Amino acid sequence: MYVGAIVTIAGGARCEERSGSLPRKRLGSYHSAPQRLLGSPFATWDVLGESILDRTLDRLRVFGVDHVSVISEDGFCHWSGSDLFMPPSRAASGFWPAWDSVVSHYLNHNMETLLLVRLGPYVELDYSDFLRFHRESAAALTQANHALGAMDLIAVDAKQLRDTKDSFRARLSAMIADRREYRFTGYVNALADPADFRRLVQDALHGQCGIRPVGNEVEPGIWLGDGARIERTANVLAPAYIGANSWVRSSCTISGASAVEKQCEVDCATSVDDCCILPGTYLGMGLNVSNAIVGAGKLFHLGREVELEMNDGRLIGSTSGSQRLTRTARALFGSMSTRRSQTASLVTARRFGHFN
Amino acid sequence: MLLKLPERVDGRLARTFARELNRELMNDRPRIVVDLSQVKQIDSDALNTLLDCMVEVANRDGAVKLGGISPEAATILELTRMDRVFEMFPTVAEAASSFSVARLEPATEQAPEPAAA
Repeated sequence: MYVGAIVTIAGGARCEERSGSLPRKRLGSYHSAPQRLLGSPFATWDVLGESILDRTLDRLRVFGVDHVSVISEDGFCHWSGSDLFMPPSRAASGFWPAWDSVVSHYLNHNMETLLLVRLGPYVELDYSDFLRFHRESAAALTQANHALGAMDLIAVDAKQLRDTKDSFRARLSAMIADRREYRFTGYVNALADPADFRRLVQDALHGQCGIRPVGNEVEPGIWLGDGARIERTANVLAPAYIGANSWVRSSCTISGASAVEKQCEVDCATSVDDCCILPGTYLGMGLNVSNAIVGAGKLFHLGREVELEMNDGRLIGSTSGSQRLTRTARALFGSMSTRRSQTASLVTARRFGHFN
Repeated sequence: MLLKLPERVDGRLARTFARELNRELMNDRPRIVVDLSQVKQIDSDALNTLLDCMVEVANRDGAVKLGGISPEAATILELTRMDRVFEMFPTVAEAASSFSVARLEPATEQAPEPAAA
C-alpha cells in the first residue's frame, strides 16, 4: 500500500479561529484546541532529546509510511528533511493552500492512502495495524478512537478524493459521516497545556510511555546525551535526563524527574526540581528552579500557572554565544561597580552575576 | 511607609524608589511595606536594590515587609531564593498590621502602669 502522510502541527487559539472549517474540527473531539508552550507549538519542543514532531516522523517511517509532509497551522510549511516527500510548490503560504498542494501532489503521484495526523495530542498508535484495519475494512475514511475520545488521526482512501469534482476539503467533510472507527488503547497525552507536557516528560522518564531518552543510561534512571557534562560536586537524582552538550556546574542539584535538554547550562549552586529545561537555556547561579518549564527566555510555573518573560540574562537566558558574551560583560561591569559587603553577607552566594 | 511597585521593575526604577526611601531611613526603626501586587517583571538589579534597602533598614532596627505578592513576583522571589530573606504577607494590610502587632506586644505589658497611676 502506497501511503502518504500529512502531519499538521497544531497552532494556538488564533489559528483555531482561522481554520474553523478544518475537517479535524468535526473529526477530532479530544482536546482539539491545544495551547502553545512558551511561544511555540508543543510538537516542536524536545522531549528527552528529540522533538515530538521528529519522534512522530520516526514512528511513521518505522511503520512503513512512504512519504511525509509537515504543515503548520500557523501557515508555514515545513517539508521535513531531504529524504521525505517534497512537493514542487514550496511557496504555498497559509494552511489551506499548503494542504491542498500536498494532497494534490500525493494524488498525482498515485498514493493509495492518505494518513492525516495532527499534533495536537501525543499518540502512540501502531500505524501499521491502523492502516491494515483501514485497508481490510475497505472504508473510505477511518478514524483512530481512544477511550479518551476521537483522535486527530485519520486514514483516507485516496481514490475517493481523486474522483471528486469538489474541493478536497469538501469531499473529506462529506466522507466523515461514513467513517469507520479504529479503537486502540495505547498511550495518549492531550498536550493541551504545559502541565500535560511536563507529565509526558515524567512518564517518559518513568518508562510509562514509548518515549526513550536520546543518550546513554549512565546510572539507573540517569540518562546523558552526547557531550553532556556534570561537574563532580553536582548532584543528579534519578530519574533525570541531561541532554547533549549540556553542562551542569558545581554544587547544582537536579531532582524530581527533571529533564535538562540539549545545550543548556545550569550555573553553579542552582537547584532544579521537578522541571523541564528546554534546549539552549542558561540558568543563572544559585537559583531555585522548581515545578516549572523554562526555555526561550521564559519561565512557566506549573503550580501558579503563570508565564514569566525573563529579560534578565543573568537569571535565565540563552546559551547562545551573543547572550553569553552580554552576560559575562554585565557580570564584569557589575563586579566593578561597588557592591556592599553587607549585602553579600546576607545571602551566602551572590547569584546575580558570575563575579558578584 | 508604603512603597507600591509598578508592573515592570528594573534597577533604575528601583534606585529611584530607594532614594525615596532615604527620608524614611532618617527615622529610628523605619517600617516599610513593599506592595508587589502589580509586579509582573523584576530584574536582578532591582532585587539587589531591594536587598540593599533591607540591609539599610535592618541597620536602623527597622524592617522591610513584602505584601500583596503577585504570582509573578512570588515566582521570581522563589527563583532567586529571596522568599527566604524577606518577610512576606498575602496582602499589604496584613504586612502593615504585622508591624502593629510587633509594636503592641511590649505595649500591652506596660499598659497596666498608667492605669494604676
